Amino acid sequence: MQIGLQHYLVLSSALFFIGIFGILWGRKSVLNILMSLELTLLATNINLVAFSMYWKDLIGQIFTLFILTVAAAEAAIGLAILVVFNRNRGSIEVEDISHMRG
Amino acid sequence: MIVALTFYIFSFLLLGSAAMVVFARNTVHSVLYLIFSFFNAAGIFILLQAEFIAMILIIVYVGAVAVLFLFVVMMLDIDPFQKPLFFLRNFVNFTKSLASVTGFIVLYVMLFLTIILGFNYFFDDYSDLTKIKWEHLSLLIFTGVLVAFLIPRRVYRWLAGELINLRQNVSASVVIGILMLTELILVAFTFKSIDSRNDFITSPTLHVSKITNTKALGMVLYTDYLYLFQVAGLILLVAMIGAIVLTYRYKHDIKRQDIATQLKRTAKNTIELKKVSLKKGI
Amino acid sequence: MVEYLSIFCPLLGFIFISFLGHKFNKHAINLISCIIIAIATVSSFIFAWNLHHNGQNITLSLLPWFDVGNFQIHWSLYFDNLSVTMVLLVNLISFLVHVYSIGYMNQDPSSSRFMSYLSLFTFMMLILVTADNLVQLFFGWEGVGLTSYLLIGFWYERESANEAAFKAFFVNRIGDLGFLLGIAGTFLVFKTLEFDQLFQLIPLKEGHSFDLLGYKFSTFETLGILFFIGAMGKSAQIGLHTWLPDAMEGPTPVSALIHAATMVTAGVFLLIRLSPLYELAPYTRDFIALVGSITAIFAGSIAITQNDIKRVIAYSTCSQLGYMFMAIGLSAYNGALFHLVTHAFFKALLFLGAGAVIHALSDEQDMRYMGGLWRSIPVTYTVMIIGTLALCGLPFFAGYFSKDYILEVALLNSSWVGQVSYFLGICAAVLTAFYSWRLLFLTFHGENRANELVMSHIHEPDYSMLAPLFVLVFGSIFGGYLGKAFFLNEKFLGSFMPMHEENHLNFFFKHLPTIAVFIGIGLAIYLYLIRPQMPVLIVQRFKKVYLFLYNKWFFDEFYNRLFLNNALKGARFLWLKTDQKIIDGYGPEGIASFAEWVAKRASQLQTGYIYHYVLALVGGLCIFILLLLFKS
Repeated sequence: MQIGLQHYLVLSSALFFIGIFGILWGRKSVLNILMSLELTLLATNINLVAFSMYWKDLIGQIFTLFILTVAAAEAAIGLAILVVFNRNRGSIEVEDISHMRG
Repeated sequence: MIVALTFYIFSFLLLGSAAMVVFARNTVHSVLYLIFSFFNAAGIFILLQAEFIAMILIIVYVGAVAVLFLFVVMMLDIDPFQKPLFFLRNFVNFTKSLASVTGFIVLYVMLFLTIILGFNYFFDDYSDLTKIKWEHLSLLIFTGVLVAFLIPRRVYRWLAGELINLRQNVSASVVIGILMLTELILVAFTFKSIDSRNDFITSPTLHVSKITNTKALGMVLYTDYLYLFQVAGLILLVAMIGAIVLTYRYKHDIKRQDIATQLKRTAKNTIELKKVSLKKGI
Repeated sequence: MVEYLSIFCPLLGFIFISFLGHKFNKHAINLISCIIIAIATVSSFIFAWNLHHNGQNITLSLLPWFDVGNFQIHWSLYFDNLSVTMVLLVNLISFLVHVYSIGYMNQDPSSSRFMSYLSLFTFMMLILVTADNLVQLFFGWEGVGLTSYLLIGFWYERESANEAAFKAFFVNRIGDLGFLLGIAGTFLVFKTLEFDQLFQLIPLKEGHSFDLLGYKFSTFETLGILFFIGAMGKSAQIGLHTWLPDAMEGPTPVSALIHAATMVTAGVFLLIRLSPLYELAPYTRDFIALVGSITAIFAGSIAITQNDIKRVIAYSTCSQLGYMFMAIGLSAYNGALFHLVTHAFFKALLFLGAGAVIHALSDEQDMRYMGGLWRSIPVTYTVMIIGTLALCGLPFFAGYFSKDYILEVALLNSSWVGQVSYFLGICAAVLTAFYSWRLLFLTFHGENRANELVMSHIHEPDYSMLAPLFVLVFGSIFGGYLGKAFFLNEKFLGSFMPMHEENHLNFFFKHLPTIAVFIGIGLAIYLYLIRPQMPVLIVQRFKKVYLFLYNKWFFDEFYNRLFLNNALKGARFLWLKTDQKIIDGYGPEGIASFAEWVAKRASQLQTGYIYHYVLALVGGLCIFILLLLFKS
C-alpha cells in the first residue's frame, strides 16, 4: 500500500504523544523530562518534513532546520541549568523540586 | 513495497525506542534509546526525501545533544527507577464509575423524555422529537427538578458513591487524555485537505532526481531566509555563552594569568640591577 | 405676646435646662424651671381672660412647613375656646407638677433631667392643642408619646421601667397607625388638612362614600373610626389600654401630669376637635359610646382587685376616660370637655396625694402594707378624701356636675346606645365609688400593716409638695360649680348641645348616680371597715372571678399569645433564615468566605511540580484546539 501523508502524520502524532506522556508521567528525574521534550520536538520535525514532501515546498524543511538549532541550544542550556541545580540542591528528582509551591 | 516495508520497520522501531526512553529504568539506557530513536527518525527523514535533515539529525542531535545528555547523566548521580508501570486499577475503577453514571443519566433523561412526550402526546399530539422547542425544555427542566425530589434516598446515596469514586480515581491527566483523544478523533473525521496549494507554495523545489536536498536547501536558506539563519547563529552563540556562564565556578585558589598585568610590566618595574661584590651577598 | 409666652416658655425651659443645666446646681434648676412654667401659666390666664372678653378665635401663623403642590401646612397657633381651655389646664397642672417634683425628686440625682422632660412634655402638649391642622396635631401627638416614653423610663436602670416605657410607646404607635390612615384619608377626600377649611368642607360632602372591594363605605364613618383608633391608643381605651397600668413605673408626678390630666386626654381632645366630622358619622359615634362605657366598667372591675395604690388610680383614669368617650359618642362634646377639666383636677390631686403617701412611707406602694395612717399624715388624708369625693361624684364636688351631666345625656338619648351606656355608666359609678373608698380605707384606716422601719420615718410632705395639693383641692371642690356655666353653654363649641333642660327626668333617675355612689361607699365601708375579714372570704369563694379581674382580664397574656409570640417567631425566622442565610450568605459574608475559598483552592493549583504545569499547558492547548474546531 502506498505510504501517504497520513501515515507520517499518524507516526508523528504517536511520537508526540509518547513524548507528552513522558513529560507528564513525572518519573524520577528532570533529565527524563528533557529527553521526552526532545522526542516531542522530533515528532514535530517529522510532521513538518512530511508536509514539506507532500506539497513539494521547502519551507517545511527550513523550519525543521531552525527547530533543530533551537532544540540543540535549548538542550544545552537546560542541561547546564540542571547541573547547576544539582550542584545547589543536591537532587534532581521531580518530586523534590516543588520549591515554587504556593 | 520496499518503501512501505522500510517505513513500517523504521516507524515501529522509532515508536518502540521512544516508548523505551520513557519507560526504561536506568537513565543511561534511556539516553541510549533516545539515540536509537534519533537514528530511526533519520531513516524516516530519508524516506521523506530530506537526506540533509537526516544527516544533520545524526550529526547534531546524536553527535552533540545526546552526547551532552550522556555527559550529564554520567556526571549526576541518579538512582534507578522503581515505580510500577501503570495505575491500572485506578483507571479501571474510573471507567466503571463513569459508565454507571452515564448510564444513570441516560436512563433519567429517557424517563423524562417519555413523560414529557407522553404528556405532550396526550394534550398536543407531539410525538416527534424534532419538535421540541424551548418551552418544552423549560418544562423538562422543571419536571426534572420535580422528579429529582421523588428519587429515593438510596439511589441518591449510590449516585453520590459513584461520583466520589470517579473523583478519587481520576487524575486530571486522564481527563485531558480523554479530551485529546476526542479531539483527535474529531479532527480525523473533519479533516479536509485542499487539493492544490499552488498559489501558496513559498519555496518550491524541484524533484529529488534533479537537485540534491542540500543544494535545494542552500539555495533558499542563504537568500530568502538569511536573517533567520543569522539569528539562529546568534541563538547558538547565546546558548554557548549561557552554558558557560551558568556552570562556571570561580575557584579562588587557582593560579591564573592576568594578561593585562603581565603586559603592563616593564623592565623598569621588575628588574633591579644590583652591584654585588665578592663574598658579600645582597 | 402673652400667647407666645404661654406656648413657648416650656420649650425655652427644656432647651435651657438640657443644654445649660449642668452649669447650675439643683436648686437653681428647680427654681428656674418653675418660674418659667409659672410665666407660661400666668400668660395663659391673661390670654384666656382676653379671649373670653373678645370672643374671637385667633390664628397665629408662625412658619411654613410643607409646601408641596396643593399641600400646604404651616406651623401655627389656633386659639378658640377649646384650645385655650386646654392650654390653661395644661399649663396649670404642669406648673403644679413642677412645684411638686421639687419636693418629690429631691433625693434623685438626675432631677434636672426630670424637670427638662416635664417642660418638653408641656410644650408638646401645647403644640398639640393649639394646632390648626392635623399634621401639627400629629406632631404634638408624637411628641407627647416621646416624652411619655422618656418620663416613664426615667429611672432607666430599672428593667421594668424600660419595658413599661417601650410598651407605652409601642401601643401608642399602634393607635398612631389609625391616626395616620385617618390623616391620609382626610387629605384624600378633602384635599386639605387645616381645620377651618375642613370644617367648611365637611357639610358639603355629607353622604360621601368610597368603594372598597365592591362594598360601599361611608367616608365619615371610616375616618371617624380611624381617628378613634388613634384616640384609643393615646387614651387607653379597652384594647389598647395595656400600657397605662404599666406606665406607673414612672415617678408619681409623671403619672399625675401625663396619665391623669394631659396626655391621655389628647385622644378626647382630638375627637372634640373633630366634632364636625363626628356629627356626620352616627354609627361611629354609637361605637365610640359603647367602647367608652365598656371601658368604664372594664377598668372599674379591674381596679377593685388591685393592690398597688398607683395602679388603682391608673385604672380609675382609664375608667373616667371611658366616660369622656361615652359623652363624645352621645354628641355631648361640651360635657366631655367639662369632665376632662374636672377630672384633671381631682385625678392629679389623687395621684399627687398618693405620691405623698408613697413618699411618706419611703417608697412603699403596696396597699397591703399600709393602713391606719390617718393619724400620722392627716393633711394628706384630708386631701385624699376630698379628691375621692370629687372622683365619686358626690353632690357639689367637681365630679358631680360633669359626671351626672354625661349620665343624663346618656339616659335622654333616644337610641338603645344611650340606654346601654347609661346602665354601664351607673355600674361603673358604683365600682368607682367602691374602689376609691377601698383605697382610702386600706391606706389610711384599719390596722397598721407597715413595718416599724417605715413607720419611724413617716412624715407629712413638705411645703413644695403640699402647695400644689391645696391648689388642686380648690379646683376639685369648686371647679364643677364654676365651670358648669362656662362649659355647658351653647356658644362654647358651636351648636351641638343635645339637651337643654333636665327637668323632665323623674326624681329617681335624676339622683340615681348619687344613689349608686352611696351604694358603692356603703359596700366599701362594710367590707373594709366593719368586717375587714370579709374580702378574703369573698375572694376564696369567687376565686376564678377574682383571678380573672386581678389579672386584668388576661389582656396582656392574650396579646402575648396572639401577637407577640408570632411576631417573635416571624422575626426569628427572618433573622436566621433570611437575613443570615440568604442575604448575608449571598451578600457580604458569603462573598467574603467564597472569595477566601476560591483563593485557597487557586493557590493549591501551584504545586511546584513541573509536570503539573506541563499538564495545564497541554490541557489549555486542547481547549484551544477544541475552540478552533468548533469555530469553523
